[in-house]
Amino acid sequence: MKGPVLEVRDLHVWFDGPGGRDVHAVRGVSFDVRPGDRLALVGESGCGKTTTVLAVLGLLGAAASVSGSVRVDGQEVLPGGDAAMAPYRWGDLSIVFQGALNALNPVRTVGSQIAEVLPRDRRVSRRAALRQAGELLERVGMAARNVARYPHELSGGMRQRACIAMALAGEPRVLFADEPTTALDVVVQAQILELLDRLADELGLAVVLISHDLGLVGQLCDRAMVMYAGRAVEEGPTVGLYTAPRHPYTRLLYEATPVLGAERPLRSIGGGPPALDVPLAGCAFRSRCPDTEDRCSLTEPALTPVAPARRAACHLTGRTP
Amino acid sequence: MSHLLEVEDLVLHHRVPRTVADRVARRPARVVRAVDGVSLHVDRGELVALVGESGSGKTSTAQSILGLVTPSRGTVRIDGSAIEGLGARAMRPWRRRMQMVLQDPYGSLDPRCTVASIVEEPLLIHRLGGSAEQRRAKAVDALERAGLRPAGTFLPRRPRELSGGQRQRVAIAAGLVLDPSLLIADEPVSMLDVSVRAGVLGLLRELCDGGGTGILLITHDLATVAHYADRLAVMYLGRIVEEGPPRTVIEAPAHPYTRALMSSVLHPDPRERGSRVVLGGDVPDPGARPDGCAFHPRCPLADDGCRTTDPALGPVDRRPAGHNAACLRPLPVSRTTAAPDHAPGGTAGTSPATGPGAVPDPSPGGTVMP
Repeated sequence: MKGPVLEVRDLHVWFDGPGGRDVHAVRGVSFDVRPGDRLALVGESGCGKTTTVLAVLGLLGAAASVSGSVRVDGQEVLPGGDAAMAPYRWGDLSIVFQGALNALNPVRTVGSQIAEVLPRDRRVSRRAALRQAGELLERVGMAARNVARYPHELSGGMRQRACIAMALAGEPRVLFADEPTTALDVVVQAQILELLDRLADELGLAVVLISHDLGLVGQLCDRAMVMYAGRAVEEGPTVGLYTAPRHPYTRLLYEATPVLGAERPLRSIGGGPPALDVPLAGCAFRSRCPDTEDRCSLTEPALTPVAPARRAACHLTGRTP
Repeated sequence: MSHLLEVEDLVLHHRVPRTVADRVARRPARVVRAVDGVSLHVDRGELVALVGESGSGKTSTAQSILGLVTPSRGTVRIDGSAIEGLGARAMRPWRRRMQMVLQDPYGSLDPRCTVASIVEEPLLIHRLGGSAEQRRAKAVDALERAGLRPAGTFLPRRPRELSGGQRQRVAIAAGLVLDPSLLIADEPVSMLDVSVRAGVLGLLRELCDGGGTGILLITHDLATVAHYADRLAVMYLGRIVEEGPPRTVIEAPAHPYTRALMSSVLHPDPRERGSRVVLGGDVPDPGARPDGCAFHPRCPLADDGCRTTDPALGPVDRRPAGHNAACLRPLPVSRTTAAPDHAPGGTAGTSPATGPGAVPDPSPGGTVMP
């Protein structure tokens, strides 16, 4: 078995807040990505999933302080900050940013934007770079002639494909995809899913999907980490999470996800996530949790094994099947 | 009895100005047929979902109904009386009775205004509501009906202090404050977190169940709305291609496009992989509508007839009354199984393709179409 490409251990992220009240956005997240893995980071807006990935890639900038450990091929990169990560970014680790409709520069052609991220040693003449950009577009199911077009000439789905082509330019081993289907039509969502699925197979790419769409997660990923208030509350194989969620938040998220033809109505999760600029006492989910008891307000449950390859952070997990 | 909203043969064509090159080549002006003969109705207490991809003309239909654009042809009747002249000016007296909820509660609320002023503004525009106290009372009532309770705590707040779901409820309250009989909601939940979508849709459903309001809900997300709608109307390239009660449409879709939309819905169960029929391409340019059935270039079942004959919307074999489709080769009923909770209704696939990493499917859901 090959070792992990990426190992993240006990990652914490703080953002400077007004009045010195720092926001503790990511509170001790750990995960591994091995070659060919399909992992999902799942949760509502503000749960820290995007921040986790940006911190791993060293893209958070000066407003954030990051601690913990991030290893690429066993090599620690976190203490070195953005500079230490730079050789891996767009190369071994690449990202498709959220918001495909706005992620491209509107006044430059698609081809020139893809050519820009080609690795320096491969960037030859302008013509050769554009040819390579065209090949990348073909790989994502677009005609190579689209290199000459501007983003506004492309549909939303095509723009997302172009963003994926750009992320593939450095021949990554791990592709992070941040909400790659939000703001796209259902039909186009399914097309993008097929594309990511095919690329992962063909290129042996590991995919880390960031999404709140459990339909997409179920169809693309084998493993998922459910995040809440900056922490992982449950992780394990997606089949197991779907059939027998062990954390109430995971269960409620699945109940909020539509299934066509299902007889059950959708449920929403009342309330909202806690503020992260004050220290949390007890379980972060307790204000929205349907089944709490006294100890939930006293100590924050740790992520503990509940089944093979499954971990959950809930005091009551032992009792709720 | 007349319908609350009745739209008959609504047409919205945009003429694309000819370029110099077009003139030199003597090409005729192109006409984009955004809405191409839509008829639909909404009754009081009814929630009708208009479903389709971007570019299918669903938002153009709503804008035409509201008079935000001037349709080329067609009639819009409210409670049986036709809106004369159609267009912004003619609409003014009708606007009170038809309100719109927009997709993006982050962009549609003025960040500098308080919730109170956002909700009271429609009363000022329409010179209603009497004194300041009376307006405030109406705003409080609208906020409470939109599920923001106690309303008093929300009045002084600004949009940035609210969550996405709360913002959309404020937008709905601003629509409700005029007591409209028709609410048109354009993708009201697609910008919201999944965890709060059910709450907003449940609210719209309650407003209908109260009896006085009818809702036309526009969306591309069939799975999310199916449970809340009384009727579905599926649009493709400016026309309604299938309509009927959600139950029968989802259990036995007649139009291949409806089936394709359904199979694009992603099932959260990883064991359901491999049953997708993914439509290729995008909705064609409405300025170059294909001959015959507009869907034939993307349809897996199209034959020569479909390339030449444009099917009309009408009753389909073995479907209940009220379930209509515009298809020459409607899908059969018996072989499309609607499985209960475990499998999605639309698992009818072209073949039980083995998705990557797919676990052999133990569920009985995936009946195969020929």
